[in-house]
Amino acid sequence: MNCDEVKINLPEYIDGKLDEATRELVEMHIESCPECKVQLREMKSFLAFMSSVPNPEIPEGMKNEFESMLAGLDTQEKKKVRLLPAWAKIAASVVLALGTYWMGYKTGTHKSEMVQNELTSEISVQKQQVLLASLRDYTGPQKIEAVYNIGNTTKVNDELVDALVNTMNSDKNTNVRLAAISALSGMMEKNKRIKTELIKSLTIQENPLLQISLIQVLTEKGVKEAMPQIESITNNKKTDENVKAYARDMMKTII
Amino acid sequence: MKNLKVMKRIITIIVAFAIPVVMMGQTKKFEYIPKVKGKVEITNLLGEVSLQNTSGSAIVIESDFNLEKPERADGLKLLGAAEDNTDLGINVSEENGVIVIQGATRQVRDYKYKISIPAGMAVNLDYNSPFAKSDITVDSFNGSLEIKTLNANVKITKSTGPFTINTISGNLEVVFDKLNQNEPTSLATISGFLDISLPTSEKANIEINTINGNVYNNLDLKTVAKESGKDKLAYGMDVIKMKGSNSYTLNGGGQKLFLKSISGNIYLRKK
Repeated sequence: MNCDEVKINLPEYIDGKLDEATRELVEMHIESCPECKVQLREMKSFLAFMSSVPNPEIPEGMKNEFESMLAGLDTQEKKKVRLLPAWAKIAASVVLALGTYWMGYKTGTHKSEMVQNELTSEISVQKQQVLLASLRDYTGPQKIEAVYNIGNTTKVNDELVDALVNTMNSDKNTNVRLAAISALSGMMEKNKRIKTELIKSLTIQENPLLQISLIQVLTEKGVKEAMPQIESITNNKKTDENVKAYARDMMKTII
Repeated sequence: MKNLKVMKRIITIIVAFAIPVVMMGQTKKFEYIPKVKGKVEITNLLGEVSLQNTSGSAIVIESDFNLEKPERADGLKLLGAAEDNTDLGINVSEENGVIVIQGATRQVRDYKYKISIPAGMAVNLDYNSPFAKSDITVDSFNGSLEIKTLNANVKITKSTGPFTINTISGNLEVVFDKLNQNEPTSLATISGFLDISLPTSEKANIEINTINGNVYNNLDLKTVAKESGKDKLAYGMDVIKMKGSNSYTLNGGGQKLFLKSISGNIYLRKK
């Protein structure tokens, strides 16, 4: 299996919907391919993140784009790759499934096989579009908005925490990670796991801004358990001087 | 005789003016019409970058790039991470709805790049390198713009965003024409300053978080008191929050503007 094939299968792989053989092939490839590993991680955190947003609002621009796309579908060339928003995944698969069924029902075996082949290739294009949409179509501000909304929900469950932790530890955009740290610290009292996740994140983050933000949140809340991690950051040669100075100052406040 | 002197003077003046014109003439241009109006990613382009929106449908890159090939390289191509397919020292490619603009040679950092982006496209500019030589300027940009720098400054004028910008020691200066009301803006720096100018009538929710920096302001900000911060004893008294972030509203509140600095000052001013 090559990278492209693996990428197409990633959403189903994460959902656990692949058949045994394909799943093994995907797994084998991911093991040996750092690039796909990163893809998988991003996709995972992203899907977890998106499915946990309480009331996902479709950004206005995206909605418009999709509507104008629907309107212009007849005139457009069919093969042109369009970006679909993630919510279109369900709609698209339902339409395709019904379509496949209907075609199979209507036509003879031979013909239906041909149609099916055509449709499966269509499906893989669709899959790819969905993948692209989920990985690329959301911009930093959209993700920050979503994180902010999660942070303001009153019900805090483990799924929500997982999604935010994933975002905090693996989103590409530092500002989005920053928003996740702030959201998590805001709900620290509501879920016990958050504290340990924030401490754990201290060992993961490399960006000085994020390191300082974590130290700030943990020390201001007087989390003594974070001391060893903060100390090890201070002693790490690679750590930014700003972070070291701040960590030293703040450690004095939580004894 | 006098005429000759005057002539000489005129010629000198003409030559003096002509030299910069000739130099300017060396600016080269590259145009690319995106197949999908998706996202633009700019990486490894560490020269002087300026960004702006254009009403056209093509991405236009202008540069004074002028790398002289050594004589020995005659007939040879530059081998690098990416092929220079623009004659500007950069590579432009499009895949899966993402247009990637990347430096093909390290020398790009000695040159200027003026990049015009069709309105509505989101841009992600990765300037996060110790080899980045210059600053980033953005003018009239109305769309999502993500920038990451190490110590380069970012100066934005006449724009609405939304912006997500973070830097280690760079200064961020943003003059908002209007604040994008659909999506939040987030600006963060460690030791640089943040200087934000907003039109007086603009509605916003501003969240400020700084550790050692001071905040200077002449906007009419209203403090948002958090309910949870009050207990029974504090009845009738205002909450003064000493730590963490402070929330303010401007003109009744609007889209969120997140400002974070560690040791740099934050300046909020009327435009």
